[in-house]
Amino acid sequence: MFIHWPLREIHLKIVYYGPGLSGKTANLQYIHAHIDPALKSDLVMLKTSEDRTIFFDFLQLEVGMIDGKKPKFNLYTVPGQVHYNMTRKIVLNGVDGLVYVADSQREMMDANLDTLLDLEKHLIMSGKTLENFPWVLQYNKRDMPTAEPFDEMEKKLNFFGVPSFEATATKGSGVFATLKESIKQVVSHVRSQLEDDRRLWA
Amino acid sequence: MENENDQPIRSSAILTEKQFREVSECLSDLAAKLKITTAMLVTSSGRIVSQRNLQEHRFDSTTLATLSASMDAAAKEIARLIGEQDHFKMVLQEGRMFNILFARVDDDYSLVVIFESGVALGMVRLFVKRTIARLLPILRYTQDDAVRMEDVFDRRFQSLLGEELDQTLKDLS
Repeated sequence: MFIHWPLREIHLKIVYYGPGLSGKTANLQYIHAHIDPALKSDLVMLKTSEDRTIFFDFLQLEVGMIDGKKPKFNLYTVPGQVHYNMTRKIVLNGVDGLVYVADSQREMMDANLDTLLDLEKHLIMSGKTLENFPWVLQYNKRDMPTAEPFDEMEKKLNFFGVPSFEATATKGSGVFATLKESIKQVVSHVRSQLEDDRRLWA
Repeated sequence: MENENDQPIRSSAILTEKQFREVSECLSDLAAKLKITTAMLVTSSGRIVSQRNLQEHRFDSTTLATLSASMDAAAKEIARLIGEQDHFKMVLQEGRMFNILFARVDDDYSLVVIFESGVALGMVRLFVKRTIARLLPILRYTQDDAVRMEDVFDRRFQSLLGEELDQTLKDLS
């Protein structure tokens, strides 16, 4: 979080995390394509020649002036491929909230879980855990023939009972619902963080 | 009993009016001395604290700040990998028209300076170092114009934001 008080800007960082090809970039592409141009930045995509994310994708989203303040949501994806572990750690720097994009296909369950554990490792290194951090789950690719039932996905991935959403990001289904919930969670969390700061210094 | 919301926030995540004014002065001085194209102070998460640009060269500053912060983070990891204890303080990219110097202020801030390739690099390095020395004390917390909790996040803000999000992010599916 960064608050630029003279400009009344409130910057919050949300990272889309998940295994390779789970649809993180597809989420940002959909958001970018369906938001009022006045409320968004360019979509920055740092890709390999094979069209895979090598560093991150980035999109800044605004919702206009709220009560005299200007919230800006900085949305990032991480590269999902296993060998970009260090890059994922870098992108997580200063993160305020997470969207975990899981691939619903049965054969991807191990990768979903491994990447979630990898995320937990990175969070622990910066003094956070999945238990005390604002995050939501998105079960993407619900249109695939081998998609696991929703209840199975919940059992396998949603240990902490965080809000979860079914999605088909390429078609837009569930994309905005996931983002809205993530933003709401982040703002609540930041409020309680600021109150902790105040108590600490009082 | 004093309302807890009346207490000022003391957090490095908040830039105050005084800090902004003083940081902007530093960047103006730097820009005036070297006739640089852009001087920008960015946070480690890629947000712009303040910037100075020559009118004829306007870049997409949001993207520039995001990429600069990411580059700084990557340089820090590279330094760690090769055992460089006090990671790279400056990274220079040389172009045909412009050079760009990324200078680490501290763990939370970097200074990004874009200048025409004809400008003497030694002078840029010297003035950037001096500017960093001026910036460091400014970026430390100052109590005298601390921000009040009730002015930043309150229930009204949360509720209005919720309504605005429903308007902006209407699910089309």
